[in-house]
Amino acid sequence: MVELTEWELEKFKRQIQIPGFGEEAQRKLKASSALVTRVGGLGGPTAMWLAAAGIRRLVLAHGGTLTPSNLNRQILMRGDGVGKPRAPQADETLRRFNPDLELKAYGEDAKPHNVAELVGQVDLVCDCSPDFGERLLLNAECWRQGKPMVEAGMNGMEAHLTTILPPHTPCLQCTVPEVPDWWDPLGFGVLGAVPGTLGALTALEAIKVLTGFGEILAGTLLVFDGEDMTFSKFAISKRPDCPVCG
Amino acid sequence: MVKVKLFANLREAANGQRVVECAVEEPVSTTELLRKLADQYGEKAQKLLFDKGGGVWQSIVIMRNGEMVRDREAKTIGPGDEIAVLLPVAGG
Repeated sequence: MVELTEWELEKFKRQIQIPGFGEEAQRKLKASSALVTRVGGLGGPTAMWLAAAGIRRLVLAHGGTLTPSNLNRQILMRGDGVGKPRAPQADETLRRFNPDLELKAYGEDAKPHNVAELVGQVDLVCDCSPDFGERLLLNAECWRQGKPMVEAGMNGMEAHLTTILPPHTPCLQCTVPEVPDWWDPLGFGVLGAVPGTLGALTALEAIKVLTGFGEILAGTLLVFDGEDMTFSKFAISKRPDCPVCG
Repeated sequence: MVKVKLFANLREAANGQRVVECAVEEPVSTTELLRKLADQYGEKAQKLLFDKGGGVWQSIVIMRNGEMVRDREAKTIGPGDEIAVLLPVAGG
């Protein structure tokens, strides 16, 4: 077990103070790593809260360049960064906030050629992609490597969160065995505070999985409805004929 | 009568209603319930819930009183039940 320095004990004293969290959970975080793909409106806040909590190492994966319409939610980016690649901007923001963080930022999304390497170097994956193909790819790889995946997605004012724990829980393919033909990655609105809320919840869930603190959403789908401010929890089940986990 | 909570694009198809009521006098299957919803809210709801072959999209998740209903044909939904119809979401 790693030890906490005087600086770390001071920096994290307010969370160490939480009953049941303590120095033990903080030491576990210091020994932990996570992949966040991607780092836009959802993954950006996820990465930031993990960095703030004292995780040892983050791996980011996000391709493409910043556009003006990203700036209502992608809070790791810079206002003067439009037209520039996103991964280095996220890297810079996180390093400035937490210089102690070990960080590796890939300038591309998770794809078949890199997914094994991305997942293989971390303890846990936070799936924050806006694309079902990428999500299902990460799901299958996490299942293959036996890595937990915190699965977060949103649409308009609604957000979903669950934790996939191979081999115990349903996997993403159990609930999304096919992608409907009407689904459009840009076919819904986004108010930045909604993926921001979900990002904070995703980080909280990841911290709990990594430290063993509290109850996690294994086999449970949390649905946040930002329109009427309700949180609902639903029990989800495995698909008996699932090609990934069945 | 059953209360049905709608999410995402389905809420939009139902004129922005978060919760709707469906007339159910005796137990129905989830497919039958979704057919009623599609009849109630028209073509947009029909397209969101049913594929071109007339089957319910497999990625539509139906919750009955907080539990996922896997069997689409069993008559598991009765008067007084609370149903949630969840569409797949992938926004980041």
